[in-house]
Amino acid sequence: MNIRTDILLRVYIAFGLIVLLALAVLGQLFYVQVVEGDKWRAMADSLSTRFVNVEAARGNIYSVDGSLLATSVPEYELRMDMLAGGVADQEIFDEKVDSLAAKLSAFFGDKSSKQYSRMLRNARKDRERYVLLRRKVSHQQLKVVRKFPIFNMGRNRGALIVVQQNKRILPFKTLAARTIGYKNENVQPVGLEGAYSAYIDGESGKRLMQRMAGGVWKPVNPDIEIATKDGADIISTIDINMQDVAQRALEKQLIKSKADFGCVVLMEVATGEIRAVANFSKVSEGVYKEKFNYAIAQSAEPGSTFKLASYLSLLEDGKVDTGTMVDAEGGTFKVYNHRNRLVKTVKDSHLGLKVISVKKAFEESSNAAIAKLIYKHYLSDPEQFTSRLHNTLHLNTRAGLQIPGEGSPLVKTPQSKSWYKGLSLAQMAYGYEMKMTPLQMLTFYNAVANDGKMVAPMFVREIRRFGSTVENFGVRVIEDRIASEETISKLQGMLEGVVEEGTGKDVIKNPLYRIAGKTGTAQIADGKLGYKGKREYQSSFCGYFPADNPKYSMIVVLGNPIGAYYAALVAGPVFREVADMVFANDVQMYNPVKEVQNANNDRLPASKAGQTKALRSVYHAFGIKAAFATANGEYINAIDTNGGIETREVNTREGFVPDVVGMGLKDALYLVGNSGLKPYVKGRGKVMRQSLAGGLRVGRGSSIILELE
Amino acid sequence: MNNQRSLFFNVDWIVILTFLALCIIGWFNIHAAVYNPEKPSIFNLDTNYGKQLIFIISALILGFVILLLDSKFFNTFSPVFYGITLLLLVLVLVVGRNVGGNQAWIPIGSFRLQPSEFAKFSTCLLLARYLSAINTKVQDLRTQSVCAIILLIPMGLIMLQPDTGSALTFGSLIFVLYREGLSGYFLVIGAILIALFVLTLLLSKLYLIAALILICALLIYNYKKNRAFITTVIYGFIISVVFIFCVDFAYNNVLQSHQRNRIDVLLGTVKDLKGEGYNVNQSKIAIGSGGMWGRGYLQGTQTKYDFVPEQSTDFIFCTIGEEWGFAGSFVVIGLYLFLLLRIVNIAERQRSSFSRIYGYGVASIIFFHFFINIGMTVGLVPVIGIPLPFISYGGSSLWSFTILLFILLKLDSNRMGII
Repeated sequence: MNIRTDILLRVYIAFGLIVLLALAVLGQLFYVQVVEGDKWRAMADSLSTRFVNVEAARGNIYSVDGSLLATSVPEYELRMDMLAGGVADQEIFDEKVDSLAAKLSAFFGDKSSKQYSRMLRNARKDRERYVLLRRKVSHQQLKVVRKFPIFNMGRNRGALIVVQQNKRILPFKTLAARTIGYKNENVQPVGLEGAYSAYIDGESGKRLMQRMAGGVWKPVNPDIEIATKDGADIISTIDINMQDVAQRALEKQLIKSKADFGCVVLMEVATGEIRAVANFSKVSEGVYKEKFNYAIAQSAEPGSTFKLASYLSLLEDGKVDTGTMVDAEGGTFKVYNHRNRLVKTVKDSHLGLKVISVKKAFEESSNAAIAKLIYKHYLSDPEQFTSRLHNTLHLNTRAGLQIPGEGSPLVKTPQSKSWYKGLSLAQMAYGYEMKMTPLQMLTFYNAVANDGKMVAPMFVREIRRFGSTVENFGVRVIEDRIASEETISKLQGMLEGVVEEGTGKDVIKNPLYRIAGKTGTAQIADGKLGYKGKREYQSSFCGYFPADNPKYSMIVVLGNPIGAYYAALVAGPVFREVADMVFANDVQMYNPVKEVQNANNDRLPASKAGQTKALRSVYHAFGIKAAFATANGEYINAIDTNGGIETREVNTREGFVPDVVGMGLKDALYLVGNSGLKPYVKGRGKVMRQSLAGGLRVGRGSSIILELE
Repeated sequence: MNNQRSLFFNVDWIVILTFLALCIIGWFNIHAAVYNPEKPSIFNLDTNYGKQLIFIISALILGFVILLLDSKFFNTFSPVFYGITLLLLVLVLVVGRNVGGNQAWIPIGSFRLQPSEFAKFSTCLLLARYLSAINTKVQDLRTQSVCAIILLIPMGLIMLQPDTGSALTFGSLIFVLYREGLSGYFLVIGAILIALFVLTLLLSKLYLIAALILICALLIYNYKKNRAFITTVIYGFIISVVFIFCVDFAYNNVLQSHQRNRIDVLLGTVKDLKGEGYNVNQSKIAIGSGGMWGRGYLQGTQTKYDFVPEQSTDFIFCTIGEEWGFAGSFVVIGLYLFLLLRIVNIAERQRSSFSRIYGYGVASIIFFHFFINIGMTVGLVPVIGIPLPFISYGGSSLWSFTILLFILLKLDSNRMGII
């Protein structure tokens, strides 16, 4: 090859290479732009504008008495378009910017007028169109801000851009907070908010947003494109007053007993509606917070409260009657295994019981007696015992709550792997070797109170949208009859006996109305150490009231109290306090107010109005038949009538003005003070006039003038 | 006066017009790429498009000055230019400002000088001067070695910044040597090595070596009479195997992870749309969404809303692709192709070998930038951060390419003066 052709070849190769590679680039470009063009364009469009979800206003959650438990309030983010019509003219902007700055500064107080002015001027200089002025502005504030200079130029010229957000608030703060719950992104939903989010959330709308230079997303239109649909309201079964009482009583007792945690659940007997559910965990010494819903979630060994189920079984199977005598052997019962070796000695907490009736054994909460009875009667056929617990009493099934997080119960059967022949039976008799949540136990007690009809616990009564009912949750019956009428009535008697004469009598008994229930002190197994490790107790009291016509059932559980751990002393006071307050506030629970008929038309001597008990003892002392005996109110008012004295009950509910006319000052002040009123007194003698009429509903701290003569 | 007229008469106006066209296309597209609706005027000097106008005007002045200089000046002073740029390259490592991990800029007031850009034309000049000397012969090992040194010193200094993209640019000058008589085997071997490099990363070493053995066996079987050929094949085989292991080692131990990732993404061995693949994917979205006719001037969304990285510099072609479509891109590529072929043509018509060699150098450097830059935006080559000549935003790059091109025009205008 001669040099000339060689060089020529090289030149051609140089040309060729340039052309070839340029064509390769062009080819690839053609492929990307023309062949794949639509694909890339679709991707591009999805990147520069997009619909963003706009959350709908969430529905409210109401208590059963109509108070707001949870609601959403709008919150606004204020931004400003520095190039909006109204301020397009630099002169107008310069003229008004300082007064706007002054107003903003005076109103929000976060920056000085000068700082605001500088910020606005700089933003204007940079021609920004989406300047953040302030976040978290309330509706009231927004209304004021809209009247500020520049912003008051009208919707499209005023430069103010308002972005609405919804903020959830609980008006009663911590009251039933855990049961009301919350729903946040990326967090397991809790409580009613979580469970009914499908209803509460509503349907979110969509808003077209455009990406601005610099990567900010800004709404394309002033109005939202696809409107939101507001969420439905939830009417819960919670009663805010009862909830308040339950929470306060529980917290007080937790602080006193230094327990680790505690819970109270108050349930309406007939419907299963939960009126109050309080949960507290110890945060630090003396400080308790609602952090975990123990009432529904914590499945633990119930202890003695379970004995009710054992006795139910014995009675229903005809093994014993309430009067059957059983030898408690001084409070110990030895359990032997099939090789006749002693495996366990069941002991009472208070030793010394000898031969006693079944009723007494229940009232005194003898472990030995019930262990012995169950062991004796069911050893040959433990299935008979456990199948009743499973199938009739439903103690091994979840109650099926309307809110998430219910703990699973565990009641063994002879088929269970951990079933220990003989021992398991004896231990289960008094509530060990099993697990139940407080609410599951309450459901069982509620069934006994409800004359054998077991109903499911309810947290939600109704779902409403714009005032009309979307869904109504009626009573859900789990079991129509958990035992014969006869058995149930015997059990009710035994439960009353516990309070009247047994373990509960010192603390829980109330002379005004009767409470029925059972104490439970369970030693909690400590993981691997079993019962040998540090002794921790769970004290509980489960029962119902008023015993003669049960309206509410309640369970109180306190975990690991320090010092006294006997249930009656730890859980009892909480039960008593809540029950007392509920009783005192619930007019329906009193016997119907009847006009007192005077026997034999005898005239009753005139008396000042006052405390029923005092009045009664006075009449009694004078040998006058107390014809008003049916009036059970703590206070009565005596009205001087022609024929004698007509008595009627004085309404002593908090928040209502009591009718104190005719009373002495001592009684009147006591009642008025209890109702939360501020009394001003004139004169001396009996109350003749009160400035606020009796029965009027008033707020706490209102003044009332009492004129005495 | 007479002299002046002849100067402009002799200058290749076609190249100058092409150059101006590319500069103006660049200016408009920078305007579109960093468009700021608050500062819409293309003449606003606060913005990059305003500044680019100043760069373009000053580049024209620079070009004009070059045309006024004596053409011997460049040959004579090429070692001085080379020396100055080397000094600057050292200086930048000491006083340079580090931007995005590269210490490539020397701040002078508000302006930042990028010495690696200027090293391109000075290296080109020195190479031309050396190769055009009477006693050099490209076929000689000595000449080859000196050429290698001339290229490797600036390359090495730039690698220290580290700016692999700019350093690779100097590799393109090997085509100059080829035109001057370097054996074609170098190119063939180069091509084979590149192929082996890619295959090593794509395939397992064992398969690759097995395939090589098969090919060599077939070759030896076909040419069993030719002993010399067999020896070559065997040496070639050994070298290939060693190379494969070297590549494997270098890939895993020498390359930085982001470079490795870029290669992986390009070869498709790794799908990574958020990391290294993000740039290319965004770039393809921008270019692809332009379609056949483009979205129209200032209508591009991808570049305007900052989806594409480095949208006024290395990825400026995205704006062209998005707003002007395949049609506009075709015009731009056509302009480059025309310019390159014209430069090769100019080089070939030179009487002095200095001018010719320099011309080829200019063509090589511009071509390398053009091919790598556009190839990278459409996903044809790995992401290597080098500017698109005359179009990308930046004073250093525009001036350096202008100097590069106008020196050639000056030499060309004077070609008749050389006997």
